[in-house]
Amino acid sequence: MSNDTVSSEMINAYLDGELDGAEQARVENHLARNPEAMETVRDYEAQAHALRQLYDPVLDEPIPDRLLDTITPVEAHDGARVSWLRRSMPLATAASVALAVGVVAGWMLRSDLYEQEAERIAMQMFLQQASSSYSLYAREDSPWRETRLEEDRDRFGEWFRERNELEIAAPELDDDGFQFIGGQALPASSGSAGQMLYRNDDNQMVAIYFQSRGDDGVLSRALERNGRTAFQKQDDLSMYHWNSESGSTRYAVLGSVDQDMLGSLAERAFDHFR
Amino acid sequence: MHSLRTRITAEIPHLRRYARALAGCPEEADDLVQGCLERALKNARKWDPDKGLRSWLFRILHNNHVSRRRSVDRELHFRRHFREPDAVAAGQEVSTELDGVRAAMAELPEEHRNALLLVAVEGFTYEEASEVLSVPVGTLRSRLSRAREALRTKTNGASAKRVERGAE
Repeated sequence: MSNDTVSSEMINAYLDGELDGAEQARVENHLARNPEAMETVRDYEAQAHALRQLYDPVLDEPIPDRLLDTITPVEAHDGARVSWLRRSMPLATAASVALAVGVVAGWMLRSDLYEQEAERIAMQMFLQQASSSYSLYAREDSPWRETRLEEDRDRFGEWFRERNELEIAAPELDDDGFQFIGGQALPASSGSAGQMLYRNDDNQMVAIYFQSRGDDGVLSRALERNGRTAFQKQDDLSMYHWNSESGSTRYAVLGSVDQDMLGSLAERAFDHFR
Repeated sequence: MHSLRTRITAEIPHLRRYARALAGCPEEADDLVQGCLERALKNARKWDPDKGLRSWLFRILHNNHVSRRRSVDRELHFRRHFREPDAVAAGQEVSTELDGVRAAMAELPEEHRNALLLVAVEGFTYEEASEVLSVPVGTLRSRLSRAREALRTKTNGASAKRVERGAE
């Protein structure tokens, strides 16, 4: 009987064509006499089939330009050059005449990099403003903790709209144990900004920071390109941030709470602002 | 060099398929592939033509993935809370059965999942797959066997119920 046992790894190797003739015969022999083992093999085969159905469609997708650009030098790849130019079009307007002259290409590339750097900094500034607003008005050791707040949750939106051209309503986070303690308008380099503070029974504070995009082109583009949701953690402060669907406002939910809790709060806020 | 570029280009769809399974989100998957391509071109001289081009590329891709895993983990955690609207749209219409397989795959430990993907989907030999993952063949065997069994248990739960109901 012990001779007849075939390990599960053997069965796998059989399926994957990794056995020599003798081993293969042994497994086949085993399968012929063990319907249960045979069923396992069938299941594994069906599994492989399902996996391929699941993942194969990627094979038929056209290869994205950026990957082709990576693999093929730009000079040799006309399509790539066109799309690269299209990407830097906003910048190119001033340079469009000079474009015809090949010499300018070097300069174009450099200013595109500057642009990316500017966008990166604009994004950093958003994160910086969100976290410093939290530090100023929500941290225990701050002299400004919980000062200058509009404390009525229902009225906050109206109050804010009177001062800024932005519709905003404070969400309810009671289900996660957080109560609204107030909201405030904050200075912003462009557009309008503000935050809403919430506290739970353990005296933990979270903030919802929001900033609408103003006329600042760099920030707008930074938001556009980095529209995806993201998570950041620095020291004891965690933050989720994302763009509104229209892209006009960026939100951050931040606080010194664990990531699961913060995630749940962010999810609620996300649904609320949608 | 030129023919190497051409050969690498031919592997891109396969790299994307594996990366898509690794990363979940198409955008991030292509980031992985792009990183892999850049690395491969830079280190083209290190490629040993006796070893397959594909497993060499997959190894680069995999290492790229591992080194980015920490941020990817965060991203995954995040996505559990926020379904990206386009992710749903891009998911196309998939049968519930495939959804079940997809969900079961997501539950597997990553090491097991990757072993299964390389062998069952990409068709690598054990030798090649173990090289991609930088583990001994024995480890690969055991991961593979556990992955298949776990996947079977997870997906059979659903189909067994269907059978029961059918028998009533």
